[in-house]
Amino acid sequence: MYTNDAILYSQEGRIEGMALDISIEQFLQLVEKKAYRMAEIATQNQSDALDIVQDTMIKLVEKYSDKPSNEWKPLFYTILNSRIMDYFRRKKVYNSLFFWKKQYQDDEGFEDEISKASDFITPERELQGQQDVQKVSLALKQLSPRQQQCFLLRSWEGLSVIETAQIMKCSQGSVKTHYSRAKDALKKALSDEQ
Amino acid sequence: MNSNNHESDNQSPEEQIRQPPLEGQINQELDNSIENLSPEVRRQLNQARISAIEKKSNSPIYWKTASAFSLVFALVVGWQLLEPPIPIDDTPFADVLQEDLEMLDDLEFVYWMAEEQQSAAL
Repeated sequence: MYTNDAILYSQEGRIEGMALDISIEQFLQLVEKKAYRMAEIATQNQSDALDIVQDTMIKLVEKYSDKPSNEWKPLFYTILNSRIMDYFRRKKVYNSLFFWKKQYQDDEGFEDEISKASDFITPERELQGQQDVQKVSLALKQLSPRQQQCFLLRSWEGLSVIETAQIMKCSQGSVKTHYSRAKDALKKALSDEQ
Repeated sequence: MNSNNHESDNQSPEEQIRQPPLEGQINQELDNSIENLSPEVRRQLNQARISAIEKKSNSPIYWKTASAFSLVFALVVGWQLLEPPIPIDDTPFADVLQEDLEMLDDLEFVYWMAEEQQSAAL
């Protein structure tokens, strides 16, 4: 059964306050799309984003489903953030081990850009025909992973500085710095687009 | 660090709703983007959620079964280790043999008596 808070979330796209009588499955249903979009912006890859979201769901359900439901949201985003950072660490190791592949990809830069563009033109974007969504996504993808996470958690998910700092495992000062730089970069990127 | 950049850092929920144009615009576009996710992505997210829930619902059964087997195994091993060893019969072989010979003699005597009784009856 969905609570008023959950309905508020589904209508406005953010959780203002999670009610206590919500099942873990309903909670996942509420956050999965946002989590997917966050992971997709970070990884710039649909299948990697889906894997990250699935891992996050499994970890939350296995380890923390017995916790009170109002603790699920910060726990969920902590796991998600950790999975995204793991993804970048693995990618860094892979790139350092197989550096010649990176070189090869750089040589094939033109084709790489084409494949990126074709990946970016997904059916939903074709259908909605919203250029603004693409602009915003592109601007967000230009941010560093930490700035992306900080901005999305603070601004889109509406978490406080303290919650964001706990999720990102950094100080509140770092959160403020990341957020400020992310805002500046986004402002610049979006104004350049216009 | 410019303090103007952190105006919204500690804002209340009401203030968050009235977000500055930049954040408001970006949030709106992001909301639109998740509302228009492709059916394939929605299906895969749905599947991921269901499999996560199924793993949880299945896991206690495995744990209970494994725990039960472990407990039974531990009890059997413990019982085997704690049980006093069976005493070895150390009666000398000669004594056993002597007893057996006496018993055989008795049997022969009984058999002879029975035969005698049968022949007397005839």
